[in-house]
Amino acid sequence: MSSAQRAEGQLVKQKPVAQKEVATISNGDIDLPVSSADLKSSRAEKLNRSAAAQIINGFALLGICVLAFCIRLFSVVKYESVIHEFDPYFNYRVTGFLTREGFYNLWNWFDEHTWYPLGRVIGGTIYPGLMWTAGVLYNVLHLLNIPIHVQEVCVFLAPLFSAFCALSAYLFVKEIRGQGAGLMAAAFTAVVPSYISRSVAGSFDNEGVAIFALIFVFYLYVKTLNTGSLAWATASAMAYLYMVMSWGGYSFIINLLPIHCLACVFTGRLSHRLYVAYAPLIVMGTIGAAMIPVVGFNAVLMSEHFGAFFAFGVLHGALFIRYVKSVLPAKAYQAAKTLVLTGGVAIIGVLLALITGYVMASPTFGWTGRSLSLLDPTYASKYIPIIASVSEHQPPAWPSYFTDIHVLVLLVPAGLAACFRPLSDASLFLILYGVTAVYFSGVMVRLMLVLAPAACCLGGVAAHEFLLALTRAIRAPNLAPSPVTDASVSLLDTAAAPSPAPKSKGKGKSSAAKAEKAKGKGVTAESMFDFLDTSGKGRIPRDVAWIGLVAATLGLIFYIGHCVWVSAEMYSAPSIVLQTRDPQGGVHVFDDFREAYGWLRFNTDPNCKVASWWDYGYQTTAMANRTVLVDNNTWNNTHIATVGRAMASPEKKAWQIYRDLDTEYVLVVFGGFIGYPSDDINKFLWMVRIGGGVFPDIKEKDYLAQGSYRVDDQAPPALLNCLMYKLSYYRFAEASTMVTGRYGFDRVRNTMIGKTDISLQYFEEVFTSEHWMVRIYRVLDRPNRETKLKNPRRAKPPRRSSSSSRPRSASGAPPK
Amino acid sequence: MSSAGPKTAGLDAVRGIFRTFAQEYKKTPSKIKILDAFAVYALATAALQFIYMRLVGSFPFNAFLAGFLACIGFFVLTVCLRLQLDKQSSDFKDLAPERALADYVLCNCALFLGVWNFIG
Amino acid sequence: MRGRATLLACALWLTVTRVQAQKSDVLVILEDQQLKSTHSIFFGHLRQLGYQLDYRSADDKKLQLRDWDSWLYDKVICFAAAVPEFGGAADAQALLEFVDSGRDLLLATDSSASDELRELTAGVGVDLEPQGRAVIDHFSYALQSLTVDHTVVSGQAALAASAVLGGPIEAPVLFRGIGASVAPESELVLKVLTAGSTAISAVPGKPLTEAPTLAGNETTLTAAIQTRNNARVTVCGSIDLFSNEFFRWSPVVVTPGQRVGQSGNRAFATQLAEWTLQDRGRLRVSKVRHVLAGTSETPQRYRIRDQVDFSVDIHEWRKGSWQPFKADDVQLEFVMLHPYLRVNLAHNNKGTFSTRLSVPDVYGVFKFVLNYQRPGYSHLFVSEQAPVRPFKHDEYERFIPAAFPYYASTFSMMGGFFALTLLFLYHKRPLP
Repeated sequence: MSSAQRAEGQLVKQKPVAQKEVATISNGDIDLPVSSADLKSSRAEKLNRSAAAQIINGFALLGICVLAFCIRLFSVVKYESVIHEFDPYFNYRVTGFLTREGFYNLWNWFDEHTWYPLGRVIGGTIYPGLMWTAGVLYNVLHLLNIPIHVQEVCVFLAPLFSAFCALSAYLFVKEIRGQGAGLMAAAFTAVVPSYISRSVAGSFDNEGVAIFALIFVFYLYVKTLNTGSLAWATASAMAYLYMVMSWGGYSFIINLLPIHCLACVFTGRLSHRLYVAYAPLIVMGTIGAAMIPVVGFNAVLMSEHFGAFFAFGVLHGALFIRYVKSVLPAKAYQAAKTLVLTGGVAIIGVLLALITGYVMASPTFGWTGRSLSLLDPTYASKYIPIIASVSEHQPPAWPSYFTDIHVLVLLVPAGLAACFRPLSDASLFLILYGVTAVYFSGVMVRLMLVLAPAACCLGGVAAHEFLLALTRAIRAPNLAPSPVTDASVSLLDTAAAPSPAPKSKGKGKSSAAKAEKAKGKGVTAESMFDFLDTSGKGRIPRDVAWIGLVAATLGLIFYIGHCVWVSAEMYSAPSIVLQTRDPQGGVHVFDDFREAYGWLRFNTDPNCKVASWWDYGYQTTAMANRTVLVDNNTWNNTHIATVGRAMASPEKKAWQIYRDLDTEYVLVVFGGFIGYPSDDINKFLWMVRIGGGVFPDIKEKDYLAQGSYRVDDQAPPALLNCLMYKLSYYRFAEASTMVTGRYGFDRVRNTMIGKTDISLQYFEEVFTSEHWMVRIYRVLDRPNRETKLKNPRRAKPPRRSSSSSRPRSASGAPPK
Repeated sequence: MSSAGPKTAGLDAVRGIFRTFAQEYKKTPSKIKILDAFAVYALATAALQFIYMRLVGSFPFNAFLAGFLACIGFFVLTVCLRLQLDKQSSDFKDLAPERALADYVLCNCALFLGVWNFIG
Repeated sequence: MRGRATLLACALWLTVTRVQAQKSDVLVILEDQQLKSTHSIFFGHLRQLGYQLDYRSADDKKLQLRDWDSWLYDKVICFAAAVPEFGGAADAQALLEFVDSGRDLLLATDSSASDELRELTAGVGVDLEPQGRAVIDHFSYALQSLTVDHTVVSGQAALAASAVLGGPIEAPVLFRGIGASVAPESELVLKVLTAGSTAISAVPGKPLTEAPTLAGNETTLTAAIQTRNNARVTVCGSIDLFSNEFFRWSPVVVTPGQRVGQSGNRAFATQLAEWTLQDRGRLRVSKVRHVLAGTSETPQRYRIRDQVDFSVDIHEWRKGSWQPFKADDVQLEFVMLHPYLRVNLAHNNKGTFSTRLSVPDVYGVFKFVLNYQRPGYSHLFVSEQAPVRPFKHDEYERFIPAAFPYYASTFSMMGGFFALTLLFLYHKRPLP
């Protein structure tokens, strides 16, 4: 930099400092490829921005945060403040432990109440970010003498962090394209249904904080990229550490960053700021990731991270080449190049061979099972049936894209195009993020969640561009645009007309058709609608712009309406409490699960062991506070297969298996009485498959009748005699006559059951909930005396004379 | 640079390149040269640790990783500082050298905090 | 002075007799009250042991075993055969409940055993032969009364039963009554007295039309059962085995021409009764303790590679009091799905069995399991859960010598950083 420029930089430098102190929101450093003269004048323009605009900006963000928080409260209003689903119960239990026992005890926690008798080292196998966040929040609130229960903290943490996520999206896109785009993106992020589905009040799961951490890391990375300051690099490393702590999806970041780095290097955008943004983050991020026990040495040993190291090396190589080029005169540089090309290629070849050898030596090429199932969607169904059996791991259907991101489906391609004009390092990053997120969302429904913020950011950019065109056409139809002022005018516009901005968003499809007349012109990459300029005057007629604006507003109102409806109807069910409407319009609540867990909690010995399918493990340990055999962590396939085998075996064999595991109670979920479709009989084939995967005596075809799964009288004897069948349908035939009028009609499978006279010899029924959804059986002890053993020498049984059937109550003994 | 035989020609070429490089390098400011020296020192220490690990085995792997990454991290941060202080670079807008040094100190503190926590 | 001494002596005698007399109440159900006199030696022996006998008739209408929730008797001796049903409230089901509550039953029956008795014995795992059949041995029988039907046979006390009987009984034990069979996979039933290899179970006097279902050594004459809650039941197919006549029977003619001395019935019956009434072979476990070696606290969970001191007190009921149990084969297992450790416990002659174990290098939820099952002794089962945790984060070794180069390099990096910043900040000459 010449000294004149340096002096200028110093002069100008002081004002933004002052501005930083005034504005509570960021001052919006925008990376526009303009000359230094433009820099000075646009900065001066920026200073003229009205304070009112900033205030409106602030209130708009506040409104966005409040909206993000409130839209997630439907489940609290409709049901109650309760923790949803299965995994959040485990997180809640861990958070409870943290608040009671403290940080170090959680770090070292060995839990003997789950995976009996193997136990689980919880301290070393969880992603602790969510629990620490909740624990810190709890402690802070208690320090302020707000005696809030830890359950409330857990329930409302996700909505709070979704508000933070909206703020992060604002900051992120502001770095890329400006304040207006940032506001759009924040508004989209606040209500996008895909994100709502995993962060409603009550869904206390990793994604609730992890998505916030994801966008925040991206924001800090892009900020570092734009400013080139190591302080921001430190902040991004800290944020990355928080992300690693929170979610296993951090591997998305550690693979996206090298893709971006390589893209920058190979498209000629190599700069020193890229090095400052990328290299320290990788090194400090690796150390940080290695400190979290669940990641540990995988941070350097697993293939997921090799991309980052490869890009690290490539970046160093590229910078070194550039440095040598700058130092050496041209001729010497050419000579050096030929030298390196001949010698270096050999060395790189050797290195690659070593790494390839290391990677091929592992059966999964160094990738973990879950990552491999992302890269190869057929891997899980072949090798790991448990991963394949989870419904969240299936590929999404096409309509679910529309349900989950609605109008953004149309805005994302527009946003991708908008990011190219102008293409900066930051917008290149956003493009790559969007593209990779779209790919991964196509592999697993669960990863739609990673796509949602990307779609919101891209959609925000697109909407901003679109509205920019329309509002500028409305505001200043007579202005003769000049290159620089156009840019500053665009800034002024977005700052001065923010009232339509948060509420009105663009529906790209209909308005693109209307925007045939282009607006901006002359300036390179002014707007993506340049090419539509046919009139030569460079603007859209005012009335067309008004129509476009109205249509855009309508489109965005539809978006909000859709999001609110989806949030209220589809994603607010806690799944532990169910509701239906009765014919009079009232609400009927099915609270069977909590009833059963409460029964277990208060009516059984505290040290007893409960066996059930792994779905209910977390809820049983959290609510019933009893030891379970298997739970949702599914880390030990053999143990799950043992339980599956027990459920699929005849009664005596199952009794033996359960007694060997010291089980006292068996819990079964049954929906045939009330019509609840996710019960254990529907999951039974998975039990057979998982059990059969480890124990060869359980064969799936034994339980199918000509290839189809039935429970009526066509069912094979293996199914009719297995424990799951007996425990589900014990005493069901008589009870179903009261409900359906038919003797043994299963309302989920819609058939009459095959065996109605079921008697249990080795189990006894101890609890059935109100709607028969949860049934608990006790595993009987071995009998005190041996009777009726097989004895070939036994004479024929004695005739029971009539006298021996007299009532035996003369002693007054209480009945057995 | 033509002498008898291509091999000597090649070696001469190499020596020529290095001489040219050394000549040009002398022109860099001494502050930058100090930074370069520290960076090379960090890299050498990292290489030494790697060789040691290969010879002795990776038993306290966390200690190896922490020491190795400390060296690599210090190298990276020093290179970053060098890039930021290098006046020929036009990539950094309004980044004062004092600010660069302050950031460098902060980043190093964070790095060593992490390293000492992990080294066990 | 003398008066006080006499008073003291009287008090002492009274307490001694009271202590001795504080034995449990025994209900003796007799089909025929004559059995009191014909079995007087046997009952006399029981009274000598200190039992209070309450004789009732089998069809006594006021026969009661329990009064609402409390049991009126601790043990029952039942000599009955042909009674179609017990009087009062003491039927087969009630007697089985009696056994299930942990109380003991000595049952002797006869060839005329009714269905009620068959039901009772089937409830403990012994299947009596149909009514009317007797154990007949045409090749080996006692000739005293020269009975033609050869129903008085001699049984062989099984060798394994010496634990029950307190020692081998060589003399033949005379038996007249009904045989029984036991399921082959039975775990709780011990065949104490079996018939000779030439015995059959058939209706005496009637010619056989088909092969007998029960014959030879499979014919069980007396079975001893110890239930899972350590209640003891003895089923004997012959009431006469306990009679004075059989006690005094001498000489015993085992086969025609072979004479043996006194019958072994008296020793057999008294030993069997002692075992059944829990006077021998009764064990009890108390004071199970497991602590960290060297301390006296039982932690909530152990850690891998800990040293644990385990101790348990086992006592045996002998001669009216709990004496320390002496055995060298008491084993302790440390189990998680399968035993990781199995050690013998050493005892200190005062009934305390202890050992020191080192917890294996595997973490999980283990159990200390003491499962002591020997014939003739009560079944001891102790299971204590002992979770084992892995190392805490600060229990690993620190400052490993092999890692000193890494520590040194990190220090040098920090030194370099420190030097660099000092240089930059404080160098007097402004560096170009």
